[in-house]
Amino acid sequence: MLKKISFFFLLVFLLLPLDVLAASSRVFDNASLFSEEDINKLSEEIQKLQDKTQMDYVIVTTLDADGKTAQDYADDFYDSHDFGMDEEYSGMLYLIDLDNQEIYISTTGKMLRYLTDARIESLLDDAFTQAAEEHYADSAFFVLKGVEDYITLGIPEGQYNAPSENGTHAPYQEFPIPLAPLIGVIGGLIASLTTFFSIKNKYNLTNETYHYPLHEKSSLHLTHSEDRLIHQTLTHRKIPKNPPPFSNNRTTTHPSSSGRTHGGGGRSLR
Amino acid sequence: MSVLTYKCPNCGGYLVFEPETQHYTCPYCLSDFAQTELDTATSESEDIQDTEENTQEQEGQVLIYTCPSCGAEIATDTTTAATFCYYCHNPIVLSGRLSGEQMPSLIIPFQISKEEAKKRFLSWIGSKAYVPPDFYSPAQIEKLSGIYFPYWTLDCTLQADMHATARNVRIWHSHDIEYTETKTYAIHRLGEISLTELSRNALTKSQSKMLEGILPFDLKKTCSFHLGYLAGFQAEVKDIEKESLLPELQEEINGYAKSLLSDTLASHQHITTDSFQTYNAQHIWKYLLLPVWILTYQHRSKTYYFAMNGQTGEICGRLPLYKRKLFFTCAGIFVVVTALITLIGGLL
Repeated sequence: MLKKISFFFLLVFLLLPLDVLAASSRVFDNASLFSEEDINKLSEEIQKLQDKTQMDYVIVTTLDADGKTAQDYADDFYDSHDFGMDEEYSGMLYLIDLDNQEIYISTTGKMLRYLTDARIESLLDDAFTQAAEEHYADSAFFVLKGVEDYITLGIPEGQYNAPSENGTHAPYQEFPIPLAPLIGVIGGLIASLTTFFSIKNKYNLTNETYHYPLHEKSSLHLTHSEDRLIHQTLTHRKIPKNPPPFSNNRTTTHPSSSGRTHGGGGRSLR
Repeated sequence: MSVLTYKCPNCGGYLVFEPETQHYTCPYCLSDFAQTELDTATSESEDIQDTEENTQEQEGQVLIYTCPSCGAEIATDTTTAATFCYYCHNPIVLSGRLSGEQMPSLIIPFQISKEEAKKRFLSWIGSKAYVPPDFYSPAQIEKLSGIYFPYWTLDCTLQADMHATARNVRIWHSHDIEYTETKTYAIHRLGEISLTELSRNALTKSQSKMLEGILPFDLKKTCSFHLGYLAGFQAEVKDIEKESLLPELQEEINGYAKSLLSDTLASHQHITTDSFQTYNAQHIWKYLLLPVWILTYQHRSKTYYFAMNGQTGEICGRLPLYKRKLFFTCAGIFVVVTALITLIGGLL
């Protein structure tokens, strides 16, 4: 009985602060750019967004990016803390990186769908004007507010994810040693069987059948030839304008060092 | 039925037709005669033995003839028209087989001599590394025989009538407007079509695939038939009548006629044929003997053959495969390719 009661209390003790903790531990002001009040307000805002969208929101400031680029630092920070509220780790992270002098938005999972390249650019426009004036907390508020607006707008029609052409490439995979002989055997089989059947086929010349040279040995004299127009229609339509080369619908993705897929964009504060 | 050998007017030996000179030569006294010379000496040169007493019909349609040279008995198939005596090796023409209905109207004499045929065969086989050596051993090559095979050719004229509908679509742009114009045409074509030289093999026992594989012959170089051309060669007469070929050919002709009329619609798009018919078909059949060099080879109870067009040198055949040699080659390729890929894979 005592065991049961103590277990119950333990459970309550474990569960109760979790909700509060969840939001408060989403603001990491390592560069001490925010006031206590800012942190509370941001945490509150994040809590609200988490409940509303079932996605995660993280604000990070840093003076030392561990030698990484802003993109790598943001992606790695998000991955290593296991943020995200579903199996796709959906969410976003806003990084104010004073080491690289850059602000950066990193997106993951479903958030990739909402925050296309064009939308991230637009979010950064607002955040930059604040961050450049050293109103760091305001820039974070602008980002959260902007993201909320975009989620309310929904996923843009025709949105697609496309791996980035340059920048971070897929992690290098070493050619596994046991695979080489297997591919070798398959390659050898294909080469030898192709040789066998092509020679076998070549020795059976009966496949070369004779075709009557129709045009050489025929003549046609047309005694009557008539093409009568019986029906004619003309339709027209307006050609839709070509979409601009920078597509509003594209979300450029890249893999992080942990292998998860992120989207995002940044802007230098210099 | 008469049996015939062409005798040399000079020495009495038998004459054979030489493809290279298109003359007759006597292998004994080396005399050389043109067709015209032989025609004037016909009465002396043809040794015809008549008839009923030296042919006996037997069951299974094998006929026995008596050789005019040595008197030995020669068994032949019902379609054989020229052969050799097995004993004295004299060329024999069974002229009775080539009379009346079985008389070909045209012939293309051999243009390629046996020596030339052997040479071409050896050079062709030289590029094939996986044929068993027996197939081109001297003893085997000696079996190369020149045979006149019977063919039918058909020249045909007919009228064809076609109704069709075409839908032509044209799309163009002006500023930011796209225009689509669709014109529908009712099409009528009526024409006289002539098709020449549709060829068919006319012998049941021959491998028709092989004999069609060495087509075409240049039928402009046909000569009117003369028994003398068969001297020194084997010959077969037809056992497939033109009537039995007609249904299949009729279908082929209709296909060709439709294709020729359709060719006149090239300027139209999206064509559907509403009706097509042919009528007033006129057929001119020709029965000819065409020259083929043939080599057959028995290998593990299968018959392989090599056939060469005796006029143009076109080659067709099914070759025996030296399986063991090919197997070792393929095994070698397998080992080399496997080793190479494994090695490269290991280095990466």
